[in-house]
Amino acid sequence: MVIPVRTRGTTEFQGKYPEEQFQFYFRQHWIRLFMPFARMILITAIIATMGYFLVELSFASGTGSRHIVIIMILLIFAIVQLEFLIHFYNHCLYMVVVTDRRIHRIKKTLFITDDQQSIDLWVIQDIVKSQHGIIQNTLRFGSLRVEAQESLLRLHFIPQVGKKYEELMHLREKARHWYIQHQSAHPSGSAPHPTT
Amino acid sequence: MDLVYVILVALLIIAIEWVLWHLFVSKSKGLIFPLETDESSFRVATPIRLRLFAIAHTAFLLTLICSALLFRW
Repeated sequence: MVIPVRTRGTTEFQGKYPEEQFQFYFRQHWIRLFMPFARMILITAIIATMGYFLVELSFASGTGSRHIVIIMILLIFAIVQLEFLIHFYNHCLYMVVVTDRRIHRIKKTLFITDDQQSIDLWVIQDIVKSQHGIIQNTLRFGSLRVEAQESLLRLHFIPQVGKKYEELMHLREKARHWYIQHQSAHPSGSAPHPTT
Repeated sequence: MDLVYVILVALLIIAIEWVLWHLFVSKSKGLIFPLETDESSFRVATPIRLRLFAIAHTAFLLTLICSALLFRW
């Protein structure tokens, strides 16, 4: 079972209802950043090598071409570095929060995207865990597909996906139990939130 | 290259990094960031360390680009 060290129930986040109690949260697995990082390293190495040979070899042919080469190399280097930085920030802005009542997926990017999707735990019909391939099984990440009657929530690159799957199943049952009690005890009013 | 142009390039880099950091801070309001004691695999990315990473990244870019302009021009 996933037991976060931070205090359950008190952590605030955007879209949280007052009666919800925070359970746990997670971001995507670090493997999501591996390809942008590898691409940044590879391109930097290539332009550094090209820059060394072009600048050193073009030293005797005049300063004009040398300056152009240096500017192009530095421009490409800066663009590659800033692109990775943007990828990193976007990685930090994607978050899934699970409370005792809902699953919230907050997906933002620096410039374009600002989405939030929430799904009630007691309406969830199926939770499907997927882990395919050596890398996913070795690094213990995967995907979860959370299906309700009219909603579908897909979560990819989930770290410790097995533990998350078990915890979600457990919380879903508790939420269903609370909802049934709430319906029978208070048909038109409110009931205390489920305790953990 | 003249020192004035190098300073202008440095200011441009700092401006771009500041804009990206400011966008990130404004977008991250309402999100949860790890505490040092969190069990999350992302626990290294605490708010303070993210700020230090942004500063270090800016310093890295400034050092490489400005030294290339000053000494290899």
